[in-house]
Amino acid sequence: MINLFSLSNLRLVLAVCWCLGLLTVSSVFAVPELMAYAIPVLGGLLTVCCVSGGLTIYRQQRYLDELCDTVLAAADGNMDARISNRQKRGKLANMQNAVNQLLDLTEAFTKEAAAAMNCASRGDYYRKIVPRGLRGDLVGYAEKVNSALEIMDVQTKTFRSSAGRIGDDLKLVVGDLSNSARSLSSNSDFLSQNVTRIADQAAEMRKAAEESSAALDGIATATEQFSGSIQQIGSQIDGSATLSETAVERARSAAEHMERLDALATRVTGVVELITDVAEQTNLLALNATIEAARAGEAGKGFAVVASEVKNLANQSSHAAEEVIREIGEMQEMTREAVAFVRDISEKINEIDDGARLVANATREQTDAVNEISNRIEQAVCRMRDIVTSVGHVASGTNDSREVLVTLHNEATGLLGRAESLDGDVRNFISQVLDDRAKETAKQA
Amino acid sequence: MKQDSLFLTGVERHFDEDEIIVSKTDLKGRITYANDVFLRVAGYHERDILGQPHSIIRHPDMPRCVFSLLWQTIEAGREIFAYVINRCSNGDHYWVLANVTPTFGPQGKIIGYHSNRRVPRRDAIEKVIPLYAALCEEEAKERNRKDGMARGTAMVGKLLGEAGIDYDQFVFTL
Repeated sequence: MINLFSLSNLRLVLAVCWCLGLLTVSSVFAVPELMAYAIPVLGGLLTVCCVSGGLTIYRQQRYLDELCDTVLAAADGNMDARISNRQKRGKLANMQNAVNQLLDLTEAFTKEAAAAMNCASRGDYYRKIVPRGLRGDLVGYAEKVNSALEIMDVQTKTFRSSAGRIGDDLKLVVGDLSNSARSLSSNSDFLSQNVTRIADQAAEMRKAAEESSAALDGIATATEQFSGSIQQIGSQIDGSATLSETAVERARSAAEHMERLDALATRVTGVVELITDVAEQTNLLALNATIEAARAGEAGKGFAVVASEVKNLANQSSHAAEEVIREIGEMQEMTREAVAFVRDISEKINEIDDGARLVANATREQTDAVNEISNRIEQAVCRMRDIVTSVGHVASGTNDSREVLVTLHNEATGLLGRAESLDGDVRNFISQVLDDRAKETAKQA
Repeated sequence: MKQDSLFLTGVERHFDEDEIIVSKTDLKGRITYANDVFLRVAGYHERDILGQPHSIIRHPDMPRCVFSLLWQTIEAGREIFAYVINRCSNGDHYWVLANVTPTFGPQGKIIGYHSNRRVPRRDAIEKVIPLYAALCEEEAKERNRKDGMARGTAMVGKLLGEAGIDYDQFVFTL
């Protein structure tokens, strides 16, 4: 039936025309049989025509509705819409196919462009719009998009290679910077420790130098005192030499006096011997007087007493003289001993004098040596003061250096941090530039 | 209908370079739209083909692993290009460069698939024919279809691994 309706519209119209013709002929020639045959046939044919026409109109309406729906959907941007259940031929079929083809081409172009852009957004440009199968203006548009992609590909490759090269250089520079900063940091740390140690040592050295300086001051003072003492000793020795010369002179003089005394004693002995002679003669005289008094008897008695007294005196004088001689002998003996002593003393003094001269010479030399020592010590004290000052400068210098090194260390640490941060930035930059496709893929996975 | 029983004439059909064979399927691969080029080249009436599985035009020279890759890719929401040989209703065949894409609904869900097929370059077909033959041979080594397909997939993976490129780039190098 569908075939009948769809294919035989022309035949139906022809049949109706044939029946109408037959009816006209039968009415003109008044053939009732023909008319009786033609009228029901015509009626039937007209009925079939009406039904067929109604169905056709209904079907056309449905095709038009679908066509309209599809076009409206496409107008709303729905590229997926298509007309199925199409007519096989005719203008409507052409229109249906044309709308479908329009949508096919538009959707193909749109999807191609989207796919190419999607790929380009990941940094890959091999996916281009396939121009084959496209028609008319779409071919030109596809070529424009493809040539744009080509340019982007070249530019991206150039950019990536430049960026990669710059990134590599930057990585090297940042690596060097990091290493330098790390080395600077550790070196400044090491230097700081060394400087601290030097500062401590300088402080100790300063203390030691100050103590040494004080000790040298003490030594200088002691040396000066010593020098003074030696000079005093020298002058005293000089004085004692003079004294010993005087003493020797005096001893010589004393010896001479004693020798003279001995001569005097010898002479006194002669006088005493004379006195002894006198006393002996007196004694003899007294003896003679006694004899004479005895001869005189009574008258001579008194005289005899005197004579006895004289005899006693003469004896006493004789004893006294003997005593004196003996004493003088002793005295002479002692004088001689004294002279010997004095000579001995004189020799001893001379020896002392010689010793004193030696001591004086030695003392002079010693004085010179001590003066030399004193001068040297004074120089040493001056040098030591210089050392103390220098060490003080060193200590304050090292303190300054330590502060500088601490600052340096902090700055190096800061620099290292910045270098590491820069390193991270560079790495991120490079990975962003070079690996974004890999990231994209990973994201999709 | 068994593939082995398909009648083949060995006659190749062609379509014009400014034509696209277009078809659409639902999520199960049943044809919802076929354009006039499709109908003409494949030799079907629209009413005969709507609602049919797309495998109605499958040619026995097509390796299973290629369709497996195709479905995996489009079900994952990505487009795929593939050289495909199809069988006409009378047993003739025709080569296409198929670009299959998922169609997304307003909520971003896949609501169907869409295939645009263009005239392939002859030199590309000359490269594809021995490759597909080798894959079919590899797949035929297993009696079980699934195992055969796995062998084919493994072979594709090996070939791409040796070339050091992925499938998408490989198709464009042909």
